Amino acid sequence: MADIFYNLAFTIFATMTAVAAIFVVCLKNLLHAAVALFFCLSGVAALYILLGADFLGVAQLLIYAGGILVLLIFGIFLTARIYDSNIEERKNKYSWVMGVLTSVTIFGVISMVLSRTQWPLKATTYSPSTKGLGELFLTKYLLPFELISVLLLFAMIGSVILVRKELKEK
Amino acid sequence: MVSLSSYLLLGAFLFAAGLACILIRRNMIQVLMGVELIFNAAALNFVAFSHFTPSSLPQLALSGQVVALFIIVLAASEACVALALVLSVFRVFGTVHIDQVGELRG
Repeated sequence: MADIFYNLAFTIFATMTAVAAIFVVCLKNLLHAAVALFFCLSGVAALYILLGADFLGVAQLLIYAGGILVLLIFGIFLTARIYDSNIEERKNKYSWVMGVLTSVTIFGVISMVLSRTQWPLKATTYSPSTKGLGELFLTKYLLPFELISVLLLFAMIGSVILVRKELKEK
Repeated sequence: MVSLSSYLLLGAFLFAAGLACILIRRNMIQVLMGVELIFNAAALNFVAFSHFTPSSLPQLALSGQVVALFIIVLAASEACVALALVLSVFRVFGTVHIDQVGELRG
């Protein structure tokens, strides 16, 4: 019985993610694409929770859907002229065919490999992951943890320096 | 139960969609959205493998989730810096169209 619900939930969220990803690629209006990206990221968060990664699912919702997406929408408002229709004008008219061909080929190769591989793995049981994650961050992964916090600081300072207005002396 | 392969297949699909987004779209911000899709594909693969860890190696069970958290943090800082670059490109060139920002092309 639980399996049926699990399969149903996986089917719903995976379909939502995949369809939203297609919309992100195909929609020309940037704001519509951003809304589609929101549904895609939320679907991935739901899949994380289905995979037993509860903390990660919530972090995905908070950071991706709540932070990065809002940042992207701010970027859209600050740069794109939304009603400017020739933003998609390209030098080579049929260059998009090559892009579609490349990605379809790569997806085909990966799915062929996946269909031929037998994984000798079984699903682990569900348990709260937050405590284990915290312990790992402070023991085994302490150095990457500290490095990535320094990296965040650098990214913050760097982006402030990149977008500030130059103050003219005299 | 849903097998590991279906999660990996969804990850591959997200990767292909992100790659198509990068290659097709001509707006810098939509290219950034494609990069976010690819980040999500990689993180989904890591979390799927951490859920389907062999039970003889329990110490590996959470490592995939740790890496996925690192990916989320990296994506956040990448989006921050890349948007700052897009904003300054827009200030200099007055456009975010990729083909029109080609000063260095020979």
